[in-house]
Amino acid sequence: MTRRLRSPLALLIVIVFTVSACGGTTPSPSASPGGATAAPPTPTGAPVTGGTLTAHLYQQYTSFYPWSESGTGGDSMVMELQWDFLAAYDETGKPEMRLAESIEASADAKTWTVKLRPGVTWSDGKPFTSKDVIFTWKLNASPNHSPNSGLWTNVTGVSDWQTAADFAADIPGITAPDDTTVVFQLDEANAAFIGTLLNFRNYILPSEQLLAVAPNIHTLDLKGVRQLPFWQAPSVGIGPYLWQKTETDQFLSFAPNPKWRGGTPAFSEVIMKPIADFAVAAAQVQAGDLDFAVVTLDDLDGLAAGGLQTATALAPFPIQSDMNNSPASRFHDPLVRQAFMYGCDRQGFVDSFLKGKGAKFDTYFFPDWVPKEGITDYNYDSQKAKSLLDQAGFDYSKPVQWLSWNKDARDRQSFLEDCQSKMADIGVTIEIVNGLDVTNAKTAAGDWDLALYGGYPIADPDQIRQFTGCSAIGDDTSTSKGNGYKWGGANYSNYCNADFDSLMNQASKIADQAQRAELYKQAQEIWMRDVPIMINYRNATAYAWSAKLQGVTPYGDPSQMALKITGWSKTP
Amino acid sequence: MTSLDSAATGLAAGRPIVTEGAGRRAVRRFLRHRAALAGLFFIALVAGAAIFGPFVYRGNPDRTNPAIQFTAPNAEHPLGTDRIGRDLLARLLYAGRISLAVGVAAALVATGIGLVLGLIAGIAGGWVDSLIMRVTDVVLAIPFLIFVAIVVAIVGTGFQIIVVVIGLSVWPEAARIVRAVVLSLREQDFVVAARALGATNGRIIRKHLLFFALAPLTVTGTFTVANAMLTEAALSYLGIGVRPPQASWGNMLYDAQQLFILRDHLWYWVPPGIAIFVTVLAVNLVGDGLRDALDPHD
Amino acid sequence: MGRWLARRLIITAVTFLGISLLVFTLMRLTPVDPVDLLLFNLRQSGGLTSEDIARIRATYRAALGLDQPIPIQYLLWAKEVVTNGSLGFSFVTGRPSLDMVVERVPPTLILMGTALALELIVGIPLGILAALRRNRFTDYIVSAFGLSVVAVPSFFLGLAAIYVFSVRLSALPAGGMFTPTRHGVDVVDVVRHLLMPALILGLAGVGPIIRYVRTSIIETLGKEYLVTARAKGLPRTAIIVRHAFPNALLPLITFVGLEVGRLMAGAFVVEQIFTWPGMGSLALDAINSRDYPVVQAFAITVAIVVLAGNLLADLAYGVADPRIRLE
Repeated sequence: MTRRLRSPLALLIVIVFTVSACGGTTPSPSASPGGATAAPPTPTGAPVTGGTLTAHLYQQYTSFYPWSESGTGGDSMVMELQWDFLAAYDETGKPEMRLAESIEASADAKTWTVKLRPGVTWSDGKPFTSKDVIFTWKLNASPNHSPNSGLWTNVTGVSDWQTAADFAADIPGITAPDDTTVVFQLDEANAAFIGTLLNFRNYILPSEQLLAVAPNIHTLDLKGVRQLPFWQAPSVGIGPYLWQKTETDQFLSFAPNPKWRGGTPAFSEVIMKPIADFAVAAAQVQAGDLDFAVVTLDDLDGLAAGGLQTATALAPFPIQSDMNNSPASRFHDPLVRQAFMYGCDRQGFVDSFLKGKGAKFDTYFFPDWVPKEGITDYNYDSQKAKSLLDQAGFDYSKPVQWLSWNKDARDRQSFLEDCQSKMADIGVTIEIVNGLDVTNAKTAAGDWDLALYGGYPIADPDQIRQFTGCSAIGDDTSTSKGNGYKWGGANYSNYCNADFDSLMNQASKIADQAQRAELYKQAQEIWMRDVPIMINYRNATAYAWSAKLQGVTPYGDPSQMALKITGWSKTP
Repeated sequence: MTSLDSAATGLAAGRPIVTEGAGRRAVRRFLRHRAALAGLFFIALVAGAAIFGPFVYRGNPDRTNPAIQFTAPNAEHPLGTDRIGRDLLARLLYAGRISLAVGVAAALVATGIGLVLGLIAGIAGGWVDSLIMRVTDVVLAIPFLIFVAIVVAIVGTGFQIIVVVIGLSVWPEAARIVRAVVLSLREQDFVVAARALGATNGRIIRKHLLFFALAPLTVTGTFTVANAMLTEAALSYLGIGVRPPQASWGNMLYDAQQLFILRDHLWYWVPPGIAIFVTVLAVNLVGDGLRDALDPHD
Repeated sequence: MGRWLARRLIITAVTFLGISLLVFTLMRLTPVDPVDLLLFNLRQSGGLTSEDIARIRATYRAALGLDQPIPIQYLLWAKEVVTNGSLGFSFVTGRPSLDMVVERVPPTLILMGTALALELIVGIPLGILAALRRNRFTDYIVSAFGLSVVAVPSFFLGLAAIYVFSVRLSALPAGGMFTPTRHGVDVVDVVRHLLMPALILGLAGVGPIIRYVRTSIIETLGKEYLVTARAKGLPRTAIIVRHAFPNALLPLITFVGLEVGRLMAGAFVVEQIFTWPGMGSLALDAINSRDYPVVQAFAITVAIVVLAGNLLADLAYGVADPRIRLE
């Protein structure tokens, strides 16, 4: 039953970008052209109506607030049931239309037209229209409260709109010619704008209903918006299931949404149970207390032997280590960074610990339309690592501080300890510092060498610019006590290479994919030489579910599992 | 006076004055305590293995080799290997050093702090006493795991930090005992007499009080050793134990905290499980024996 | 009694003040900025310039009141407590922190209460038994049992119990407080969920109870008046029930008073394993995310529980032994 994705995320973004919900092979329930009523869902296997689905929330849930700062997987999973996106990446990394019927870019990549699916209603029967989208984007762009407000400054008039601070007024660059069309007008060409539109926080919210409970929502400050009771107990939804009740720390209960765009969903009740410890979740799914759980790769065979269905999927995001490139750091020298790429046995780790289900990656340019031939293959070679370090005049006496954000992930711990042992062989002492809280403080202080964490899905190479471009380096030097580390930006590693930047910037403004690919190929060469970020490995997410459950398709990103829950059914 | 004070006073009050032969009698009594002797024997065994084991068995506890993960016991790896292919016997032996060291060091820290503060409170009395007792109230009122978590959040984790933090969170018991002993002894005839003869407080402490407080302190100290070892295990479970790659019995057990290991890899969790079980049990037995031996009631 | 109570209340108030100050100061001593933690995922959005991030951080600092100097923050917090009875709003969820803690108090109290009851129900008879069979085989077995159950880390015992009773035997639910459903709650169902966590939490306290009961009964049995009573032919049971056991109560009450703190700490681990919806995981999460208002509300709630435990123990003292005057 084990399946994995055949290729890394392959995403095509072309000059005229069109994905139609009824075209292609996307298995999602779809509306037919012309606005006819939506077809009922046809999951693989005979759909069975009724029954309770008890699923695992692998991270704690906080609320239905789309801009929840923590943005945890727990929040994503429940919001995927209640709300919906215009479109979202499917399990192969391609955009799949949801509330939108199509998203098209003009020839100059400056005008993006979103056609909405007609005939969709909210659970209270009110129609879903372009008003809701406009309303959502006003909240999205409002600097009052939205952590995503900075994403939209390329949209025409947003900067002025943000300065004028009348957030109930319309944004000039986001218009609705009719009830089912929304147009985003950009100041500068951006071939990768769809990636921004598909941001994981961009759930569409109900304009009328929210304005009814919070008429002043556009003028509320951060505190006011966050504290709206609506986010704890939403009274309306547009997704397949509707929130019913929350038992703190125990479960959330959902009922089917009879007005859902795909017809009445299969389960009469969906229960989401938060369980942080995957070992406990494995026990519960085996004991029958859960129908579906995110588990560890190690538990998979035993669970399969116990009569459960299991599968793995390659995670779209890498487990990566930023390397501190600030001038005073030993890792400012590319030779040292290369040495670490050679010094850790990443392939060995993937083959044994990840049971071959994960993948070793050297480049951050995941999409397969960026040519990979001829790039450096950083295979485990401790002698090479040693000679590179010697060549760089590496100071062996000082231990290397390797931060790790998540102290509970066994795969990360094991990788670090394996690396620690391998590097000890060539005289490098590694100190592992665990926990998001401590590592965050150390990062801000520039008091670190490497920082390991779960990175971000790279659907388009343009995103790499956002983490490694010179302009993404922060300007706060107050936290680092004079060691020169700059905090506050998205570029934690403080990597800055003008040549790399210029290639990346150039590519972002070109629409033709072949031309972009050529520029990215050059940028990739610089990246491979400089290795600003060490890709440690790509993990495989493992799932186990009851033999009674049908239609489960594993996503590499577990937070997206609930997107496809409508395709699931359960035999009584 | 609070309940805890009165209870602690109860432990010490009304005891006959221990005479010079007390020490020898206690030793004799302890030696008659078979369970305690068995405990002592096991502690010696475990400590011996932890201290000298690594010289005899020269496996590297930190050397990883994911290719041979979860190997069952064989000639090369007598206790098998863990999830990243480290030798479990070597880890068990080194973990013993860490676990025992955490236990003993934390107990010493707690007893030390408790002794000093208890003596100060008992002798000074008045507001100093009140202040110290209120502080013990506060420390007892904050669940120690939360206290530890907060401190770890401030200063990070590591062997020394864990020792100090466990010590800092369990000292009130020792302080109360010492204070109660001091209070009860203060009124004993010989102390009153000593003071009347012009002895200073410091002299009295040196000559008498310390001697009397040491017996009950040894008992609580012993139990603290066992508790500290278990606390370290709980901290490992919460992800704030000793730092990797250092092994402790607690984090070895935590490492085995998965269904398939529990079921299929007995050799993975049984040895550290037995080690921690036997050691904590043995330490507690010795504590029991000490208490019986030092308690003049019997 | 009245004066004693008044004094007691003053001491309690001072203790509260101490705890709130201690926790407030400790949390703010941490070198971690809660806003950074809160926004650690901000980067995931991509495309934000450092100016954007700085502006968003400033917005958050102001909204959370973190832009004030620390002493002012404490005073503002204290003012809210006094004027509105509010302990602040959670940085993470935006909900009143007191609400978040209080809704988790009943499950924790149920778990602790049951564990304590189990401890006493198992421990007291075993302690008496051990005292009566002093230095005989039964005594050793009982004492060994008492010492053994303390010697296994509860997180491990927990998973082993889940494996045996839930996975293998399918006899008990593996976690939670009741079977998830949007319909009502069934008491039997809660009891079934409660059994394993309460037993594992309680077992660790059985050892000390056995010890206390055994020691004091042996002690009292040796007292002259009881020797006389026995010589007079008073039945053994009567002696135990009427004389020996009441004497054993005193140290037991002290123990129970202190036990509240231990149970609370133990509950953190047990709650985690059995996904019991108590305060433990909330507290740990709040500490890790530097959710000051929640940590603060938690510390104060716990202090109330523990101090109430102590107070009850004191009152019970007076009842158990009228000679002890509450002065």
